This record gives sequence, C-alpha cells and structure tokens, in this order.
Amino acid sequence: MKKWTVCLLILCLGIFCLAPACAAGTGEQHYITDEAGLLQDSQRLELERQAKDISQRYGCGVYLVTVGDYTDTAPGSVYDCARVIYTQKNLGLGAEQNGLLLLLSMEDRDYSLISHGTAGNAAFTDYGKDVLTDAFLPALADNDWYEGFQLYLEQSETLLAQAAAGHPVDAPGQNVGRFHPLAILFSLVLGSGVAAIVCLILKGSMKSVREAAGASAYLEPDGVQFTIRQDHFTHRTQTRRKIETEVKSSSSGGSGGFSGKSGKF
Amino acid sequence: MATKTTNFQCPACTGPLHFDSGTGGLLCDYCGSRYTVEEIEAQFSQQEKKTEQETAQKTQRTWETERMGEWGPDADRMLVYTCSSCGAELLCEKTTAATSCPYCGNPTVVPNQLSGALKPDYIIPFQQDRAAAMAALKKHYQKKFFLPKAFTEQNHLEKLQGVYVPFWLFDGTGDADIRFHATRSHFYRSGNYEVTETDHFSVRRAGTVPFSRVPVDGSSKMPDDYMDSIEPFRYEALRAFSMAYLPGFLADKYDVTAQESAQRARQRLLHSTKEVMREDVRGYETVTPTSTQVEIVPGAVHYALLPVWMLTTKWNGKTFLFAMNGQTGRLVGDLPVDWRKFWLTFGMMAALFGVILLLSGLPQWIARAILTLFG
Repeated sequence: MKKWTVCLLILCLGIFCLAPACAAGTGEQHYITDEAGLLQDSQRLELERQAKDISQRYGCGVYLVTVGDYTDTAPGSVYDCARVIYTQKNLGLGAEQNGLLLLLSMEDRDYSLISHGTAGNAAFTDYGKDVLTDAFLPALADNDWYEGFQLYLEQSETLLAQAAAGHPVDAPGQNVGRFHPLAILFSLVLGSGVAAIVCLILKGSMKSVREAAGASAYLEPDGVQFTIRQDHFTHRTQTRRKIETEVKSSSSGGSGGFSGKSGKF
Repeated sequence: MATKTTNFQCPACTGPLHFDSGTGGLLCDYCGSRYTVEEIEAQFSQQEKKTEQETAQKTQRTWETERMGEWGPDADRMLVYTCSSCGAELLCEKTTAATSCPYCGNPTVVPNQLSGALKPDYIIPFQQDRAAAMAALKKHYQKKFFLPKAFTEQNHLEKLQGVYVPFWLFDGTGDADIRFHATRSHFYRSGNYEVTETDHFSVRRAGTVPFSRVPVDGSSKMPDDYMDSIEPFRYEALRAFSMAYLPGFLADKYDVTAQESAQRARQRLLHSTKEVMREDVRGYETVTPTSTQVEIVPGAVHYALLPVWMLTTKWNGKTFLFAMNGQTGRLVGDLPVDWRKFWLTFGMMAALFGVILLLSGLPQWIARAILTLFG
C-alpha cells in the first residue's frame, strides 16, 4: 500500500512539472503578462486575443511582458532579463520556439525587444525591430500604453506577413556584399582621395618660393608691451542633447538564438 | 664720359682682389696675398685722393668729347665705364654697382652708384661661397619624388652669380587694439541628456609690437617672392658698409625707393601685429576677432646690401631660377613636376588604397548605410 502511495506522489509531481511544457507545446500560454498593471482587464483580454490570433496564424509567438523592476526578476541588463523570462516562461512556438518578446520595466522605463528561433529572427531582423520600435515607442513615451501595445501587435503582424510572403523587412543595404558595385565605387573614390592627398603632399615639396605674409622673425625680443589685457565673462549658453541609449544585442546560437535590442522609452 | 671705376688691386703684385667669404678678407688671385677689409680701405682711400688730383689736372687740359646723349633714349638707363685693368669701355645698367669685366674678368666696383646719398648703411658679407651654392642646389634636388630624372641628369647650370641685393630695412611698431569673442565649453550628463554649457567672453588686447629691420628688397630685377623665401638674415653679422666687400660679386643699387617698398613692409607688420595679439588670447576653444584697430607707426629705414647667390639652370628650353641666402645657405626655387610620373603614381596608389579599403569592408559598410538611409 505504501509503495502505491509513493508511486502516486511521483506521478503527481511529474504531471506538475511537465504541465507548463505541455501547455507551451499546445499554445496554452499567456501572450500578454501585465505585472506592472498598465492595462485594464478588458484591454488586456483584447490584446491577448489579438496576440494569440497573430501568433497562431504565423506560427511565431508575439509576447508582451510588463514588470515593475526587471532587476527583481533577473540580474544584469534588461536584455538579459528578457532572455531569462523568454526561457523561464518557455515562450515561443514550434520546435525552435519562434517568437518575439517585448519587455517593459517601469522602474527606469527600460524596454527590450528580442526575437528567438530561425523563423522569429528571419521575420524580425535588426532593421525590422527598428521599424517596430519606431512604430510603438512614441505612444509608450506618452504613457499611452494600450495604443502603444496595439501598434506593437499591428506592426508585428505586418512584419510576419511580409516574412511569410518571402520578403522579410530588412535594411535595403543588407544584401550589399563586399564586392557590390557600389562598394567598389566607394573603394575607388576613397582610394583616389587618399592617393590625391599623398601625391599633393609630395608635389608640395617641389615648391619652395612663397611671398612672406608676416614679419615675426623681426620682432624685437621682449619688446611686446600690452597696455590692455581684459577677459570679461559675458554670458553662458546651454544646449541639451538626448542620449540615445538604445543597445543592440544578439546572442550566439546560430540563426535560432536570441537577437534583440534594448533602450529607454 | 666713361664712369670712373674702382679696381681693388693687390698692393704686392697689382693683381685683382676678391672678397673671400671664407676668411672675411680680400684675397689676391695671382700672388695669394691676403688683406683685411680695413687695410684695403685705407689703401683705397689714399689711391682715390691721388687719382682725383690727377683727373682734375687732366680735365683742365682736355676737351670733353664723350656725350651720353649719343646713345639715344637708352642712355638714361645705361652707364659707360672703363675697366681699370684692361682699359675696355664697357656698358652696364645704371643700377649696377659692382660687376666684372667680360674681357679680363677683373672685378670692378662702380663707386658713384654707392656713394653719397646712395651709400648703403649696412652690408652683410657673403659667408657662403660658390661651392656651397652648388652643393645646396644638389641637395635641393634630393628627395623630390616627382622631379623628372632627366632634369637632374640633363640640366646644366647656366649662371651662378653672387649678388649683393639692395634691401630696405624697416623699423616700425604695430599699435593694436583688438577685441575678440571667445568661448569655452564643458559637458556633463544630466539624466538622459548630454548638456553642453558654453561660457562666452569679451576679450580685449591692446599694446605695441615693435619690429626691427624688416627687409624688403629694393631691386625690381629681383623677384619679391624669392627674396622673401630666403629670409631670415641674421643681423648680428651686419657691418657698416664698405666697398671692400664687393669685389668678386655683382652689386645693384636700389631702383625701388623706400617709399615704394614701405607698403609691403607695412602689410607684413600688420599681419604679425594681429598674430601677436591673437596668440596672447589663450585658454579658449574659439576666438573670433570682433573689432580690429591696428596702426603701424613708422620708424627708421636703413639701406643695406644683403648677400644672395642667384642660380639659373636650363632644361627643356625653360629657365629655372634658384636663390640662396649668401649668409645662411637657405636655398629656394620651384622645381618642375614629372606629370607622367605624378599621374602614374596617383593611379597606382588609388588602386592600392582602393583594394585595401575594399578588403577592410569600409566601403561595404558605407554602401549599406547609404542604401539604408536613401533606399
């Protein structure tokens, strides 16, 4: 009897441990996790519905997580925290766990946007992530959370649709190889510029005759007398420039690893 | 009437004497005797008095038959003189003060050109000789990558002549009052912003800047840029003028007056006065003059003969002029450029740098950035 009790306990424990993994595999997971409490329930549910719809349509999870302070979850940078959350929550769809995660940390208004998996990284290229953040960051900067998250989902859908059509959004110059005609043209122009500077310096040594402009060689030693030497402070001006704190990162693991960016909003 | 000339003759053998830049004295080419400038000056003074008495006696007895007018309008700028060594009657420009006879090679000084009101105040004797000038020219050709090889091989020295060039030496003082707008910036970070604070200052400098003996050549035959380029002369070697320094060299008297030369001196003084004031404004990142008042207070003007070696070479039918400071040995002169070599070198370097850059990936990165921005 005791043996049966032990076996039952082990079985229950096993089911408890395997449950999240099974949930992930079957798509039973939250796409929107609002720990920071930025959304109303109705808004969260609507976003959850949209995110689930997009994710299942393209086989690539689109997630949003908000937290109070990311350092409570994981040490390191906000980008590292996003990776930890992605791994811990077992996010992503398919065998490669393809997906996109936007993490907001409200303490210092940090964000991180990471993609994972071959399909995830192919759809959300570095340039694509730039396009994405350009779409939703202004709304987040204005604390317009619901509109910002909607823009995030809409733009993600657009990028996934283009990737599915075989034309992922990528920087126009991304396909420029080392021997692209434009690169060769620039090499020639830059090479000619350097060559011209060297040749003109060498040619300059051929000329040694110039009319004198000054007469400093004939200054009387210790003869200069200053009668007025005034330095008056008049005013102070100030200019401010916003520091772009955006950091692009990527982790190894081939095309299926993490890649992403982080910054402030 | 032929102009009276002076021939510095050796008291020992009556051979012609030359100024020797190596020893600073006069040297007889024939017997090798050496004399100091002072010794020869004393001898010349006695000889001149004697000659003047003899000439006065002759003048009373003879009619004047030679007239400058016979040479027509050219007579205004020409001078006739008789070589005191071989007796040849010679023509030279009126500005010529010292030359040599083309028949006997006798160095001759035309004293009237450098006497009375025209007498120079100072002279710097030659300290560099002919061999030094030749060596300096050879050195000038070295390490000139674009110099045609044929130039050094085929060109030959047409003329090498030591010339005492007339210079006006201007003393003057720059009286300046200049105001500047100066700025100094510092940066710090405030939250997500980089803040630049710029302090603005009103700066004023006023004072006097004295200059001593700024040279401007007084010969229209000498190119101004060449004479400027061989500067500076070291004035500690200035000597009171004596004709004993002239034998063996050409010497010209000025044909550009001090008044005409003053404008060039004034410009140079103005430029340097502003520079001195500007250089005193230190500790700022930007300094911009807002008002400038500079007056040049003229001082004394001195007339001096300064030593210059003029070298002329000919190549491909073109004449190349070089000038060397006869005191310091500084030689200047523009050299021809082998344009074929220039373009060949340019092409090879452009290709080489182009390949290196291409392999470095920089052009690829630029192309990507441009396509990303404008694509």
